[in-house]
Amino acid sequence: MAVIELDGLSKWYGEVIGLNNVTVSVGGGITGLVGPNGAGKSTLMKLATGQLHPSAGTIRVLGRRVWDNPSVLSQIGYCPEGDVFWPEMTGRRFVQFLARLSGLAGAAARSAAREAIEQTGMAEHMDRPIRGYSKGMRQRIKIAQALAPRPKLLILDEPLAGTDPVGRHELTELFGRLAADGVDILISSHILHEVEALTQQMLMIAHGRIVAEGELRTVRRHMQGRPHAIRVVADDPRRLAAELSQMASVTGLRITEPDTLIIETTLPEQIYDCLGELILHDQMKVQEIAAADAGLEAVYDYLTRGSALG
Amino acid sequence: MNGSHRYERWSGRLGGKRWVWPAIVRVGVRLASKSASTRLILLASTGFVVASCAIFYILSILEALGSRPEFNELYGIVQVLLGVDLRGLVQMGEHREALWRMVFMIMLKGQLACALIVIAQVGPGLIANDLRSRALPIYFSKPITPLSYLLGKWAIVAAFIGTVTLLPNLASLMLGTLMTGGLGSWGQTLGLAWDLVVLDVGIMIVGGVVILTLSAASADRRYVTVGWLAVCLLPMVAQGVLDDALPSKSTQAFLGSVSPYRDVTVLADWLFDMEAAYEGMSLPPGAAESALSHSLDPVYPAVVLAAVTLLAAVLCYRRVMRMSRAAATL
Repeated sequence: MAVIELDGLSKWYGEVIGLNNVTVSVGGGITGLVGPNGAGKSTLMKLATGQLHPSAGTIRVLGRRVWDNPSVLSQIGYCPEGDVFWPEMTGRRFVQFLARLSGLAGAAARSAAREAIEQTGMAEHMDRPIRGYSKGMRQRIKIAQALAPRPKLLILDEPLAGTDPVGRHELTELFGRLAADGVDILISSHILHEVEALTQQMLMIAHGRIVAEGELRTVRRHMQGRPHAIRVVADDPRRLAAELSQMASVTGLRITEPDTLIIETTLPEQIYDCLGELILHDQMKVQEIAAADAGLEAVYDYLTRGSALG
Repeated sequence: MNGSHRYERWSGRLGGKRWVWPAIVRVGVRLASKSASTRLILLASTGFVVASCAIFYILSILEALGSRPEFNELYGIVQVLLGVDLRGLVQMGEHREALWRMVFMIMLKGQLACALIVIAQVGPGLIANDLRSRALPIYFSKPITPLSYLLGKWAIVAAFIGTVTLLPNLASLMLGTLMTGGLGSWGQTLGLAWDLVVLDVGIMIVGGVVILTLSAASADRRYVTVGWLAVCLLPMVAQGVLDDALPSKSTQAFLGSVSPYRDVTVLADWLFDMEAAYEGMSLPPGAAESALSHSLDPVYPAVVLAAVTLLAAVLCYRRVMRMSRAAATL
């Protein structure tokens, strides 16, 4: 069963389009909602948590309409992107308070808050006022408040933003455990590899439209054959360029900085292999090899140029 | 990170909407009570209990021993406090309820000032702080209706208004009854208690609704505080100007009901039936008129206060409704 169903869903903010005629179903498990800033991720999440009324179309969450329907909201845990704190409150009070707003009473709210705080690794800091929290701690306590009412569906808007690598790893593990325990999660990010570490199931959104839907490896397969750019930081980029210029798959070479070479190619794997050989056999000193356009922006640009997947 | 907890979906009954607004009240009261100045005002309100009990005690002495010349000075004190000379009053015990009502009327004036200050302390941030900290999306992503939200916020300010008005009044009544042997009958005590509840709940409704409306209008609580003081104090100044400038007949109707302070005191006079209380005591001519707040017909203040409260309630509800429906964009 689809957890979230969008049918012809649009949202306009005056003349600005937030979401444009989106029809998509989000299934169970973890689904990544990825897209660049301003793509419409938060709009979609706010529509799914009943905070915004659709300008057109319908949205159903857990099989029910979500707008003006408090009963469905009690089954959703929402972690907003921005800071929404009462700074003088302690973390524990904050989570307890929001658990109560979700409908848990007295002792149930207290124990649910305590468990959620422990799950997010904030037990040590829960009795400190939120104003003293670091960005990562704030993220964790926001996630704790979403977990506290023990919802069926978690909607997490950029939950990993501001967390350190260790924290990111711990939260990623937590989300994995929750999914294994049967919680459906919709998680947004503008960083592809963040979400990739959690799930292969993706919704890619750009300019208010879903540009790709399905497994990330399918998206990647569709990306084969498109021009890629590889950035190489080396001691002697001219010599490297001379070696690579003989390869048929290289469509362009640019030296952008004294030690940086940009290689344009249609077969990136071949280039990576070749670079390995040059380093090993020709004793070339290379400090860094990175995909110059592997960021989401580049993927979206490609997808929105008309090759979008269904 | 604790991984020992296995996630279990909540299988118990959810409290539903009925648990939502008390949760808002608890948190709001706790946060507002942290302010030292608010605590000071709350502490000062216990002074009303001490003062009224002291007067009740003096009255009970006069009831029992008033005929003795050595207690003559006490009549002077009572005259200063209540504004009436009770020397000629025979069978003072029969007028105990009327005298206690006078005491509560005197206390009301101080309590209104306390309520004004405590509302200025607690009220401005109620919705403004949520707007400033962008907390509305998190509120309205929970199963909470705008009405529950509003009710919770109103109950916070009402709790503080009640602490400086209703609570001291009921405590005074109870202590006075215990201390002096009571009003004579439970009917009298309950009647007075009921009038106090009606009056103070009225103050909570009017003050609470007006401050919430102002608080919903701005994310900056300083503007709200200024707005609140302006709403309370400017009409008092305007009323003074009108009273001086217009013939007294003109200020017997709506033009005499511009000041909310006067409106409340006139309605309290009416509620406590002070005119009848003074008449019953057969006081010297003119004593009642000078002691009564104003000879205004209570209909006009009632209409003015009801209209202001209703208008504020509608504006506030519409604003919160709009905020709940566009919380994400605020």
